[in-house]
Amino acid sequence: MRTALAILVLVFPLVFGGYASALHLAILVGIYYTVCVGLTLIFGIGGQLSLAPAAFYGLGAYTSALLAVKLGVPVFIGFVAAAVLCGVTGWLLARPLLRLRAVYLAIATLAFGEILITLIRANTAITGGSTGIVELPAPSLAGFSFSTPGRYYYLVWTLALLSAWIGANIVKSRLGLGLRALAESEIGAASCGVHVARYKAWMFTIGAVLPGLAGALFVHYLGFISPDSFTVQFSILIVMILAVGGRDSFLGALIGAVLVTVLPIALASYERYSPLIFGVLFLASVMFVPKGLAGLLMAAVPKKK
Amino acid sequence: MDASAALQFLISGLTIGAIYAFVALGVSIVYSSCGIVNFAQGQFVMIGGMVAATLNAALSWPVPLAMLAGVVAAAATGAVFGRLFILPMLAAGEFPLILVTLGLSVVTEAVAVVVWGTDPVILDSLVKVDPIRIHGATLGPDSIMIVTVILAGLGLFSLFLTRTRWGRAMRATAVDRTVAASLGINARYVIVLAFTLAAAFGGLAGALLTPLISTSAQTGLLMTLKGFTAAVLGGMASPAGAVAGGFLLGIIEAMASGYISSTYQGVIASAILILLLVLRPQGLFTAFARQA
Amino acid sequence: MARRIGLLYFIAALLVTAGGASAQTAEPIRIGAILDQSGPVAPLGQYARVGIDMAVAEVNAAGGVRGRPIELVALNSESKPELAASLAVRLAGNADVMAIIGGNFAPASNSIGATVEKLAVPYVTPTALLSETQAKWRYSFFTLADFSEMARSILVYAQKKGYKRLGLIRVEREYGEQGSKFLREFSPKHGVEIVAEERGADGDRDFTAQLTKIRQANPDLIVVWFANPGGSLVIKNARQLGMNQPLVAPISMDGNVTVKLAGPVAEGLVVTSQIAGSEGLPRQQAFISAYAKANPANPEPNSFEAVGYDLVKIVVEALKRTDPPYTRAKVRDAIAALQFEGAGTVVNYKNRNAPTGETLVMIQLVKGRYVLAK
Repeated sequence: MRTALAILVLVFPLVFGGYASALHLAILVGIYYTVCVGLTLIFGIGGQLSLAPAAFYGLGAYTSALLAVKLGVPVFIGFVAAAVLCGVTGWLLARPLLRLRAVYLAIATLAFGEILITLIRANTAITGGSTGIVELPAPSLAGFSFSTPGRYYYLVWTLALLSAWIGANIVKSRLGLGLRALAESEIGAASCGVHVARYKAWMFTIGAVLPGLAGALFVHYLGFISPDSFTVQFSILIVMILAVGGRDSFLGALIGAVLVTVLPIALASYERYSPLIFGVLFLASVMFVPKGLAGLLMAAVPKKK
Repeated sequence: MDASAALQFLISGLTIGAIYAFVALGVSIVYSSCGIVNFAQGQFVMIGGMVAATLNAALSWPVPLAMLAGVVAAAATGAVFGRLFILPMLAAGEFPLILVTLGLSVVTEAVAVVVWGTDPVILDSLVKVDPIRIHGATLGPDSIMIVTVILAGLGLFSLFLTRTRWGRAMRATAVDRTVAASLGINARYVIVLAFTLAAAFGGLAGALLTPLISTSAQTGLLMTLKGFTAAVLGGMASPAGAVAGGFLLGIIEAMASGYISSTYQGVIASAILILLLVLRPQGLFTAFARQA
Repeated sequence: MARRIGLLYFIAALLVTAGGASAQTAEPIRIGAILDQSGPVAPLGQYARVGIDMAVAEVNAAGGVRGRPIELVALNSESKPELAASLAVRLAGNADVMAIIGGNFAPASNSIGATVEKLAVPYVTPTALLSETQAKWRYSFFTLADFSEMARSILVYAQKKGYKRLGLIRVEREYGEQGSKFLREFSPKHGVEIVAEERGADGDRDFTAQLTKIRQANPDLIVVWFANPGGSLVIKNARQLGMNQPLVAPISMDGNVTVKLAGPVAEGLVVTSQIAGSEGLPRQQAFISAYAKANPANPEPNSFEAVGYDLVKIVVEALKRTDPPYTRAKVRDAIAALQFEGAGTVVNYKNRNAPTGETLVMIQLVKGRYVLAK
């Protein structure tokens, strides 16, 4: 299964490279998938509702974009800086915020995003304000520029597969087992020697680094950055991806990312009705396939190891 | 800054706070009685406002009647949501239920956009009197109206909870669904009732706020988020706490914008919220309201 | 009930879309339209659609371009920048689409612009030029007046009327930001001082705190740099607080919605518009009377409808000056050479890819109708 997926990712541009839209979609899916891998740990495995992805996605994007545009820092160093800054912020926020349960956490993370967006909008001289910045440079490594969609595709998917691989290992590790135990029962987990606070902090940090990196990749692909890409709507989109695909597996994140990326583009020709059709499909999927399409698929395919 | 400005900020905060309080009350009714986080609450507000404005503009219904129709339409929507979408999903657990209410919110807004378009609409004031001037500050009749109605609504709801059979059933279910069931209370009825009541309050909020701040088919999500923030601030589990949270949020926003900076109003309100949440994770007024 | 109506609409729409495809016989020329038909900017997207539909119907009734009808490929971008970019890629993948129009949300328009620059599709946008970078773009053509021009018109108006102390309340969005920047930059030249500036978020619905502070600075003119409903609520709040200063607003407040929301207290509001109210400049007469005929209940078009109308007209004008077979490169070159006076915009793309100074007109609300400002 996993090998098949990796091969599919590898040969996709060779087959569809001629179609600009296919490549473009694949890049977006890769970016959303990376965000979702980070969030799967928080939502699916940790059982927590965080509305912070938009904030970290934006923080990462602005870090790398501003370093490149204002200070001329090479984009790849900007990517690293984005990951580090998001990681540190996530780690610092984790302890106070993760004491909060369910909707309290959702609202607190929403407020964090609101602070970030307001600061970006208000400090026009540094961030470009609400107007944003056009023409962000493409990343390049040792003279090789990722300036075409084909090259960018491999950059994005290298990161996406890498993060899925790391994610899968975390799930299997002590940390993952601890997280699952936490989702089941916090007190139970603690009594079994799970260091609750530290596990949660790790989970939140990884859930900050991956969206941050994905955000940086996104804006350098689009070539344009403005705060409107990082509103609560983005966090809701991520929640939707995980709901449709299945929130406790990385396969679910992939299926969800494909559907949620492709559907609005495909439905756009229904104009005013397109959000309605999308909404009905979403509602139907959470009502009739509560475990997500990945769960459905897993149930259909006989288990083998 | 002089006293009249301070008074004006307070009036502004109370007015907008009353709107938040209304949404927060609806959020809290559902959460406290059945433990469901309802992301569609703001859509009831939208329905109340849009139905009232449409009946008034298109069919020339008098404003009070149009508002009443708005409340009824919202309550009916709430009952349908509770019966057809929430009850079948009860067994699925907390997270899937949140997703169902999110889906309902998305679909409701999308239907509203198709039916009503996206232009903002407004209603005439219910009371046509000139604004009152106190110490150089202005107090509009709509502001008095909405603050009075939310306080009266909260009072009536408290009476309902303590004095009626259905209210007691709701409280019992809130404390423990299994024990309530063993006492012969059908939790399913309580859930539909809670959604209907929350939606009616939401619809009333929508009808009353439309003359004051206008409404549109796409205003629901914004209302949900403001309502949640207020409810979380005051304490989701207590209707009185949620209402207090609404007023507090409104006053914080107005004071921040008046005394510190309208640019950083959002930052200040959000920072205070995070701080309070970290210091008192269960909401500011919960303990106080429980005792009361 | 609303649900059932929605479903009926949906089914009807499917039938119409399915049935409409085979109606034309001559191979149509396709224009892609990316429109914000839901999300925060949806009102503007819907206005644009009204103008676009009028223009397409008019062109086709007159026999199309060289006997070929125009066909619109309309897509909803939901006021989302990344979706707008994806839709631009989708349209670029359709070789029949000769040009793209639409994108009323500035960030959406920016991401379409950045995308078509790479994919070489001509794009006529209903937004304003915001940066040096965009001025160098080869494929994007702007039709909304520069914010610097709007700020300048407001200051010229203030100077003419003898107002010296200007209070600004503005939205924390790109157009509010641009307005503030240029008002501050040009105000000394016009002998005007900005005595107060307050901001509000898109979702704010009460502005009395901000207005109370502006009142204490004692301005003699207040600029409401907002869109609806925020702007109309600012006007209502200001009047309720007893602030009777004259009010000026940029193009974002143009249209009937302001009259409906703010009511009689909006009387006297001056707006920098791209269409001269119910009277109309000579170049706007044909559009205004056609619009009034099509919308008897609501006969006054707003700037965004007029601009939408011009988006199609600009592309059609370029097509008429291009020899078939059409290619995107040829259409782009024809647009870039265009000098065009439309209902909603005046452009000379030979000089720059944005409108000329003649595009803006100052209008004023008098007895609930927009007329040329005196």
